[in-house]
Amino acid sequence: MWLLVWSLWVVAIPSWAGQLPINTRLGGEFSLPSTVGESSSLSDFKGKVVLLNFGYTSCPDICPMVLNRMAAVMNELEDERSKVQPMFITFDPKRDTIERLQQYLKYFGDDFIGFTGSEEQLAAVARQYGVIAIAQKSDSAAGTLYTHSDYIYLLDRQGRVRALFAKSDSIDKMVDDIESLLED
Amino acid sequence: MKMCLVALLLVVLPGVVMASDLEVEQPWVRSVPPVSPNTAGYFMLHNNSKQERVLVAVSSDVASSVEMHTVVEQDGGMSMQQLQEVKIAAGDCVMFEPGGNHIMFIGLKQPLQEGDEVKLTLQFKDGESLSMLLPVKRSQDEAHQHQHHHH
Repeated sequence: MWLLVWSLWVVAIPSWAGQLPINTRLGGEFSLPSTVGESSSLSDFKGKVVLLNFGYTSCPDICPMVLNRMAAVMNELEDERSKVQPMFITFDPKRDTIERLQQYLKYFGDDFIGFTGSEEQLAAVARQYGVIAIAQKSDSAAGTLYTHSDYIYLLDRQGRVRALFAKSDSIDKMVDDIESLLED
Repeated sequence: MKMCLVALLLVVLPGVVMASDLEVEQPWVRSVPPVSPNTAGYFMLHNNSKQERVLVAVSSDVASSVEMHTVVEQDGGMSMQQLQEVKIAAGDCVMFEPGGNHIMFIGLKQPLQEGDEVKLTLQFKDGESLSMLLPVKRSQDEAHQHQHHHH
C-alpha cells in the first residue's frame, strides 16, 4: 500500500510554482502529540518553511545520519534559522516517548520538534507523506529495526511539499532550496 | 565505487598482537544523543595478505551487544540486515561506512562523549584478532562527506 503511494510521487505530474514544484500527491495537515504541546498541527507553523523527517531514535545508522544533515542545514541558515522549522516524526511510538524525543532531538538543535502518537495516527501521517516504515523481523539484539525511507521533506510556508531530499542531495542544495522558498 | 585509499594509517593498541597484513584506516564511532541506546562504528579494513580473510565476530565492552550490519535498499526503503561474516579478498579492502556496512553498538552501557575512544576487537575465522580504538566523533561533516555515495 505504502509502496503504491510512494510510487505515485514518481509519476505525479507536479504543478510548477517558482523553482520547486508543488507536490500535489504527498503531504497535508497532521495533528499529533509533540515535544512542544499535547497536540501540535503542521498548520501551527504556517509562515515557516518546514524540514520534516521520519525515523526512530533507536536507529543506529540512517536516522542520526539524516538528522545530522538536517542539523548541518539549519546551522548554515544563520539569520534565517528562525524562519525554518525542523521536525521529526517517529514511527516507533512504543519506544519513542515524548520525553525521549525531547532528549534525543535537542542534541541536533534546540529548535527541533518531535512528534509521536498512536500507531494508527502515525501510520496515517506516513501514508500521507508516502513514507515507508516496516518493522522487520531480525535476530539482532537491537530488537525491532525498521526498513524505512529516509527522505527529508521540504515544505513551504503554506505547508505544501516542495521537495524530497535524498542522501545524494548536498547541504548546499538544501540550503539553496530553502532560501528560494523564503524569497517566494 | 567505494574507494579504498592508498595512504594507510595503522591504529594499534599498545601491546596488542596483531597480524601486520590487516590494516584499519579512518576508524570512528558516531556520537549520538545520550538517550540513544545504539550507535554505529565505521572504518576501512585492508587485507594486504595473499589469502582471503573472513571477519566473523566483533566485540566491545561499551555496549551489551556488538553486531555487524549492512544497509540494503528494499521495498523502497533502507533495510538493515545483520551480517554473520564479512569476507575480504586477498589484497582488497572493505568499507564500513554510514548507509552501508557498519558495526552496530547495541545497548550502550553509558553515553559516549565526543573525544572518547571505543575499543573494538575484530575476530577472524582463522583465529586471529585485531583490536583498534575508534574515536567518538560528532561528525558534523558527515553530510558533506557522503553526498557522492548514492548511486
